[in-house]
Amino acid sequence: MLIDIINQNAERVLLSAVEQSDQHHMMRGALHFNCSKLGRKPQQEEILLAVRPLLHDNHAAIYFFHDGDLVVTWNGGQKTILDDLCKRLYAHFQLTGNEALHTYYDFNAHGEDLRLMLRNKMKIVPKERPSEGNSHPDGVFSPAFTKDQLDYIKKFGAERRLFASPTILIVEDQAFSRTLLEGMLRKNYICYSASNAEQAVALYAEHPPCITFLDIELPDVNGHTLAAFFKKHDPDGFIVMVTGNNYENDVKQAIKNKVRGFVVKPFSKQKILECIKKYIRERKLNP
Amino acid sequence: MNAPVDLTNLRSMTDGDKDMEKELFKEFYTSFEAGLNLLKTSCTDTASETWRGQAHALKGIALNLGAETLGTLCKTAQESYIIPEAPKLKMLENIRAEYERVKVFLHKL
Repeated sequence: MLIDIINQNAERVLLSAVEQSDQHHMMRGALHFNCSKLGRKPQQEEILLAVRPLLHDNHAAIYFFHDGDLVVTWNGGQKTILDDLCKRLYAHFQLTGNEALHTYYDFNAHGEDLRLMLRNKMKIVPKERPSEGNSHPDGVFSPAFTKDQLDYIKKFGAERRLFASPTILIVEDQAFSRTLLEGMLRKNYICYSASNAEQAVALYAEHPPCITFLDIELPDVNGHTLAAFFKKHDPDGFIVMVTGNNYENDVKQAIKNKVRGFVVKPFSKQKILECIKKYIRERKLNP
Repeated sequence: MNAPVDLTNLRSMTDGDKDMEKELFKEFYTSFEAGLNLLKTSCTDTASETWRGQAHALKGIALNLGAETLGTLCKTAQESYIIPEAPKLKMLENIRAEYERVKVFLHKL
């Protein structure tokens, strides 16, 4: 069973999936659960735990919208498991079921309604962008996770292996290089990006990535220090160091930190994709 | 004289997406203008970490763009950061001249 979690630009990603499905007849339905009416955003993990047992051998995807709503799709989109999924979600949120928070979209009958709902949501997606620069003027940031964050990383770390395609964290302080890498990867992968170590730690805790592309020269902490920190708390994390220098000491330090790759700028599509292929290969060998 | 930029690698990464290319060029100008200003203000200090760090950052940007000569000039500036103001100013002048060549090239696209 493979479950994709889509929590960034989820509206756009689902719209694109729906349009592709029209062409390839892959997905025929989607369950929309109106969590925004609950007054709280659901956590990815709680939803995953609630719905996973029902999805059996289906390849499913859970889309977390910016407003807290979620949509579940599963291959074929057969309606047969719909009732169970709804019951499970209502029970999880301690609701009676009379609240009518769900909508099932059959693509044949309600494809245009689904597209309209997604386009309406996309209109009000806030354009969030992490702030640039170092929030620590003294240039020192001590990476740390809270206990809850560590628990989450541990639990979610195991789930990552179920993803059909890896999620990626890009840590790069130069906007140009970050935009380049992000632009290339975002077409096929879910990407998060950070311009400094502090943002990277926060994103890592919130969305433990399958692969991290980590720049060595960061404004608030050395990339090696951050790599060692991530590996200490998330030994399965797949880290690739990215650097403009090709210093022997950097390579030695990267090996010492047990990172899985080392890419010297300029990036090339081939070098980046090789790292991703390596991750996928290793995941298959150690499921 | 050779073209100051080879966009082959960048275009393979953007899959020829013109909008993304435009966005990247815009980022390039913004980053370089800011970086050159920082180099100018830090060249009075011998062994300035700001100079080294900025030259390093500009090197990465130039190389990722495909501006090899500009990247090489920035690399030299990064590696020889423990030098007095006068040769630093000369280096900066060379970097700025090459940056202008790159800009002209990109504007003509």
